[in-house]
Amino acid sequence: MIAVSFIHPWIAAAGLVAAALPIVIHLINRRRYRVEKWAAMGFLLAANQRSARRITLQHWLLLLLRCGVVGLAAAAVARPFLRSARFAPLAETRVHHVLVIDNSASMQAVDGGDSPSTSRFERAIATGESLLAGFPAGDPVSIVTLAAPAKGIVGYANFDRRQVRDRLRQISVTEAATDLAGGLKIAAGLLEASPAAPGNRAVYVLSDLQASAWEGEALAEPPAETAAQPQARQEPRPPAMPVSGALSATATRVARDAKLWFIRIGRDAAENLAITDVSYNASLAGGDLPLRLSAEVANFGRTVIRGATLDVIRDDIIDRTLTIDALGPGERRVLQFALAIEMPGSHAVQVRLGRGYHDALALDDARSLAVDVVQSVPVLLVDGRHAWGAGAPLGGKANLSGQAGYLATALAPSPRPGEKTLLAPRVISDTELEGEPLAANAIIVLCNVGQLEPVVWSRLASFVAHGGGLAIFAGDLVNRDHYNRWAGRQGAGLLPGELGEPVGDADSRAGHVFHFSPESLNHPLLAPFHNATDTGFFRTRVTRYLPIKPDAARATVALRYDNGDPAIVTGSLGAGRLAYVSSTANMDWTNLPAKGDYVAFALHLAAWLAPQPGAGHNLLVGDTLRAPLSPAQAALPLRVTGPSGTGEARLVRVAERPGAAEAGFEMQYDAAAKCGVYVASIGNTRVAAATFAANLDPRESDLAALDEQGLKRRIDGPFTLLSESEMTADGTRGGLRDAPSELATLATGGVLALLLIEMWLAARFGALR
Amino acid sequence: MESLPDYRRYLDPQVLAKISGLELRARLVAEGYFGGTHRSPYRGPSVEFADHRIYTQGDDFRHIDWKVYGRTNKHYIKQYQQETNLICVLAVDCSESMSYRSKLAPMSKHEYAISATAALAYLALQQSDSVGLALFDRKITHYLRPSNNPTQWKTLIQELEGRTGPAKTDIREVLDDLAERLTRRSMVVLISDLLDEPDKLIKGLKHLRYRRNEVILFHVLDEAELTFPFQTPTLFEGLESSGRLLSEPRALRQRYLEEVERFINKVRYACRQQHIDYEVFNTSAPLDVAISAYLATRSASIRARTSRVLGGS
Repeated sequence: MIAVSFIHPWIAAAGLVAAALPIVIHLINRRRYRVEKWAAMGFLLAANQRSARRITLQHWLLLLLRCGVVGLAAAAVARPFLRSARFAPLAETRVHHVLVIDNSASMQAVDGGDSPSTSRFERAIATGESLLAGFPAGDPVSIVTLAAPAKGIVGYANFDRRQVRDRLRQISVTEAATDLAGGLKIAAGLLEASPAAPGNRAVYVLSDLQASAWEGEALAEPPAETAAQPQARQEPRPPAMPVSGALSATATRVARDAKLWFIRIGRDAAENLAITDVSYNASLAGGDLPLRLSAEVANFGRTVIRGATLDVIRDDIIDRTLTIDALGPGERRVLQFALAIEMPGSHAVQVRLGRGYHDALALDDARSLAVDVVQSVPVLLVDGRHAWGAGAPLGGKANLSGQAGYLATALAPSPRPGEKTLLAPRVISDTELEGEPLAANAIIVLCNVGQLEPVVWSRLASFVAHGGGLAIFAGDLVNRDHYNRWAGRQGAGLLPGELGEPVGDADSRAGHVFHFSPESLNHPLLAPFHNATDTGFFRTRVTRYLPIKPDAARATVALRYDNGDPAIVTGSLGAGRLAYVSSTANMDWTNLPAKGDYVAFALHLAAWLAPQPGAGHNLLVGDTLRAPLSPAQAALPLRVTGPSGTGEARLVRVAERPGAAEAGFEMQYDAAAKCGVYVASIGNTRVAAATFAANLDPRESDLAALDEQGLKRRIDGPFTLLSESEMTADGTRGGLRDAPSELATLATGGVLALLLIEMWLAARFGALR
Repeated sequence: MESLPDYRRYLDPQVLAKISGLELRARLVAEGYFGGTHRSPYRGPSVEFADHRIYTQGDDFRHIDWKVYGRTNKHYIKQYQQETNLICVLAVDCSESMSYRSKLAPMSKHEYAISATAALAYLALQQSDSVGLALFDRKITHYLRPSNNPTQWKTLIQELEGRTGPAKTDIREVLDDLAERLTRRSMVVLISDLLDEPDKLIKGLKHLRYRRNEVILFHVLDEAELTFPFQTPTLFEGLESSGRLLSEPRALRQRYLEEVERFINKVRYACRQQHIDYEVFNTSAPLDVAISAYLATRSASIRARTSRVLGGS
């Protein structure tokens, strides 16, 4: 049975309808005639009798031909094909090949063994070239690369084999992550626009098939396990959707649209020790405070690694060497260490595996961290009750009269002359705030401030939006309505909610006493009190507070009272953070300052509010480096020097941030394609304006590949998995031996022939008339 | 002669069709003919010399040829060829098919036929010939006996105007009837579209010729009937209830024209055998041109025949 199918069946259906068009036109013409009274009827009847049969025959023949022309033309457009290779000589069997080449960082891995000097990527390219050579001439080829972001290097069905081969050779390995989902999506798009018939398409994924590329994809339960587990029977998974997730869905789509080949490059037994993370432990970095860092080392190999060393390099000098005694297969170890960096400014810290160690992937043997070290963190404490002493030098008990005094003492506990403290508090009154330059500060705290001019609120909003931190403490002077109007959601947006009526009485003997609730405590602001319910912090007595109704969209409740009311609510505005404390920072409404935990609380509040050191400067390879610029800096040339040389950065005028006074400028740099440290400089100075660290996506370090079972659980469609050695061009070709034969050219030829016959017959019949 | 262009202008069938009075129409045609042949009808009939004979008592002195008397001393009388001894019967087809008029034609075949009839009658009466009229369809419906009375023309015009009936043509019976009615040798002018079987027509013509009548056949056809110019699908409804046919005219045209030509050729051949003058008139052609062209050839052939007869005596 020969079955003709169509690539565009609906066009074929439309063509069938259109084929009836000549008949309809004929019928309409038959209905439209004029009436003529005629005398010489005898001659006419005689003439008609002589030629009636011939005319009818001619009419039918022409009608049939015209129907045929329309029908066949529509069929040619609908692209018919035969599902049988026996008719291949009649028609073309072009196969559209899509090569998906993995050029992500993991492809730099060098497997030991027979060919020690070639990387997986080089072998992938060689395999791709041999595949290309095996494709019959005239078959279109497309190429997609998988390094994020995935690209269609030959993003169309290219018939020029030489050009395709050149493009294939031009692909270089990158240090970016694998974007398998993006690559398969591009491949699916190419198949959709493919000139070949549905059965005549093939996708070859040349990759190390890292299992980590499928992270986050839900797995299909193996059928046997599902049957064995009773709870699985209670909630049966619908069989139509055994896999979920964007990558699985795309891969399934490709597997159904085309013949899908996975060609695995590389061996399973690859040894790889990687540094997967370097980060700070504390938010405040600078001054005398040593930088507390942690590095994570993971063993992705199959053997126990003993005696590996880690070099910690600070500003190109090896600061110390750490030793890992033993790390089992699949094990991860976090190493903590402290670094003292006295020089304020941008610094880079690199952690590197010791020189003597070699594994499959060298790229993940080092990792960098950009750190901004500050001399001090200026904190501006604004006190609403400043009967005396506001602005006076710190020291002595006199400061403890207002809330600001308590806070200043807690933040800078030992202000002995000549000794530097990281946090540098300064107390001013609310009236002084108006003339105060805010940008010089890192944190501003409003303590019991009654009310402020609207222009001051908007300046504060701009300060926070640009990365500053703002804390608001309640107090008897706070004008509730004024705060709600000017600092709330409708105003400057500095209050993460709406203030309500004060609760409780300041006189503890007259009213109820509230405590902080230790339940569901997970906010980083209160990190030292997590799982420490027996500390004095939770025995704090609060006699009065100014409650806040948190704004559901913007606010997070950090701490609640035992009656459920929020005690501390945090939020953010632009690049900065906000905190509202519903009680006082002095002894007026609470006895918290009398507790030893008050200092820890104040320091952590400041640490949380303070701009993060190197925040936004530690990125993955391929991310855009961004740094804010002042209008003056924006006029100067911007350069970024990285591992691959110096490049010009882009100046972008960023949209006005909410609450910011004016639109800001931003430097952007997209060409961070290699792992390492990038230093941005402004103008002709060599001084680093900002230091960035671009690191490898840790998922690339895990070289473990998916086996056939693993792929089957993720792809709900037919595919073939071949290893490097099994792969030959003939092998892949074999799967397409029964490819369907396209008949479009034949149909187009038929249309032309029918048209010619129709024209000749019409002219001939016309001449006979 | 200056007035000639004016006459010509009125002789175009398009213009003639606008002239409602048949009398005026016929006079225009006829007098145009005279203008065209340089013979004025107002000069009176001419007399041609034929022979001499001996004077006998009672002869008019006026006719004595004194020159012959001077030579021979005997009285001879000049004898003249008498011309007005012609009896002309105009037989006009008034069947339904004659009412056909295509979009190309300025007037119907019937109108064309009666215009021609009236013009011929006028010419004949101007020459003092006797003119009769037979209107027919299935049979002769009206018959006006030949007469050369000057009032004959008025009578004839009245008879002609407004006569077409719904009847079919039966030309054989009509011609037989006409042959029986004509007691003296006559010239029969048959004006018809001849839409009948050709064999019947030929038999009828033979009958007329057998009675030693001279027959002239004017075959009046519409332009459309001669060229079949239709393009779009057309439903042809036959006059004289001859059926109907829905057809694609372009497909039929060739065969139709062949049929018409075959018919005309057959009639023409039969007419030649019977010494009948046969002429096809296209209703789109100017009437006077048609008539004068015909009369010119005819008078030339008659003169040739007459001179042959005289020369021989």
